[in-house]
Amino acid sequence: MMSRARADSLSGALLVLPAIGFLLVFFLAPNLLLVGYSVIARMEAGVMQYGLTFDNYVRAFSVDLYWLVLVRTVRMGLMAALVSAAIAYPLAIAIAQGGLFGRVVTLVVVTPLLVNVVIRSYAWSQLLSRQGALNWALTNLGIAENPPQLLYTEWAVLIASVHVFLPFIVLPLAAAIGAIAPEIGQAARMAGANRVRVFLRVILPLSVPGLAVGLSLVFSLTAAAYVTPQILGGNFSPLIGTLIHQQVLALNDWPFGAALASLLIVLVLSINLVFLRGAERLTRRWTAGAGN
Amino acid sequence: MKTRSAGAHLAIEAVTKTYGKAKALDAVSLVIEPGELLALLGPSGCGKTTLLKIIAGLIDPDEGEVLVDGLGMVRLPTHRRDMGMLFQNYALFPHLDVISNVAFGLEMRRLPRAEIEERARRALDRVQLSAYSGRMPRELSGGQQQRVALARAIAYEPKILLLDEPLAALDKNLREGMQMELRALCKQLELTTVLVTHDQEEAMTMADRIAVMRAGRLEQLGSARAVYERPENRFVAGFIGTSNFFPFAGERSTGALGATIPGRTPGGDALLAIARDGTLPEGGAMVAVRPEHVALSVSRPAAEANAMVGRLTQILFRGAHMTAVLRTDGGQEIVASAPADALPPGLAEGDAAWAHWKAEHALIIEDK
Repeated sequence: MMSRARADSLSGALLVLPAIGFLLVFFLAPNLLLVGYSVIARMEAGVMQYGLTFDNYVRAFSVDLYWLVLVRTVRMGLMAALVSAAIAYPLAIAIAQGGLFGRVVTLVVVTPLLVNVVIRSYAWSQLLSRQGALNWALTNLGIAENPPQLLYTEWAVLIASVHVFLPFIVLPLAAAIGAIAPEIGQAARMAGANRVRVFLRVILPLSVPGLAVGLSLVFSLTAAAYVTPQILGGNFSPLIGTLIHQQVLALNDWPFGAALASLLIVLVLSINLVFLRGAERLTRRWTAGAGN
Repeated sequence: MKTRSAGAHLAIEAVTKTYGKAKALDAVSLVIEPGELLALLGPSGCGKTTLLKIIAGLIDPDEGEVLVDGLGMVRLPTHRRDMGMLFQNYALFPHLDVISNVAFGLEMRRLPRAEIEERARRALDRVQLSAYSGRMPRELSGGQQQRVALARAIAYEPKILLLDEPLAALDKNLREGMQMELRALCKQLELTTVLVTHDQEEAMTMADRIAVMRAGRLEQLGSARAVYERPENRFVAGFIGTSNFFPFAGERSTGALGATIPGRTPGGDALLAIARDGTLPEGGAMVAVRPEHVALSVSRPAAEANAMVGRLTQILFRGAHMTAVLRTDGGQEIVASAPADALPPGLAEGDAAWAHWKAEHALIIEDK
């Protein structure tokens, strides 16, 4: 006869089976295919040559342009993550405090997710173009005589990426801040900390787990984005997504596109690992299960 | 190091706080002397925690003022009030070790490094946790965590110490030990302390005076003994300790202080009771008798004015004393408690018995 514990663990395994199956078919398999594509063929003088090869990776590492684009992509992701974090804190604190104001802020943060990212990117292109609303305002308010065009620069991509991915850092941050017992902040105030010092000494360190998740999400989404950089960045300073798109759809070089995509995945994963491990190391002493 | 002579004088003047239509506090006034430990006691929702948080500046009152040594506090933000506070959930900073928790308030005061270390260590000594200075809060037991919180609060020598149900999360034995320890420390440091609790025993053990609150109002203020022995109304008599209550129709008011007044219960039983100020309360009168003042006997006691006959429905052994419940023919339940050897031998549940008590132990109080 089967023991009770064994039956329980067996039914547990059965219950996660559909989820595992889904991930195998729709996540692991495509990624293996992608990596597979990058090593089974190479384009030579416009003709596809089949056979096991690492030439695509050699090419990616040996041509400066590709490195430049990769570095630019990572830099864009990190900047978007940091700028979003700075904007996200006040919003997350408002949400964590709840009440009517907190609910309104939640709504304001979340509703943009209902609008397609393509539409939002085109909206930004209207705002940021030379004759756009931003420049019109700058000129007419007398702030800038002849304002530079933001559209088709990295700044435009940064602004739009922060806007598009902001909810992905606000929500985990709000959850982390909401999990801090209000008495802890009150205790700090009783001990003589003003609001700034309550934030720096208590809220900020205690929200690190949520911050790490949010940074990681915004970084990954920005680095892997295609639509926003394409519409707002133009072709002068492409990010890796645009490059991959060119290789696959314009140049028909699937194997090299796959190699670039694989590199992007590895890069994003390793930087995420650094984020999350760093946060874990920082918080391990006080978040691990209660002692004795 | 200078040592302060005494804690601050704390006055609460007509503090009112309304949430929507509900009055959490209704013009509460209260004076707490330097070095005094005062307990705010009442059921949940009586406004005691709201009052404590108004003193702390964590909640703003609608009206009224909080004065510390004559200085108005209401416009002062919490972090400039120089008060210490203990919370039910300890509220230690989980990311800081014990000594950094204790040093927090000193760091906020931008004291020199050496002085911070010295005073934090001394505060930790006071709560006997010097050996734990490098531990993290989660590695400590509940009692130890609250001790650290106490060290954190006294390290910067606050003017006022506020205790918000500080021991409610501890188990009974530990709680009783901590009550005495906490009181001893407050007295030693001559701290003006306000304790919020719903536990009447804790209030009686720790406080110099108890302020009994109900529905945003102060019901009675006095020493534990005064509040217990001379409750002014039915709520206080029932909240502090237990009481037997008899609806009471008095025959006349004599006007003499502490006069005994004869009267009857609605069931027709004669009662002789004392009125503290010699008059019957206008809002309706009640007689309260503490269970320890009720004696039981098999036959009618000759010389006792107050005696009722009934059947014993329960006899409970409770260690230091026994509790017996007697039910009269009129349906009145009377609880008596006495040391086990003080009960008449041979009485068992179901037996008929007489409950009786002296007139001086039958207090006429207001029925509200």
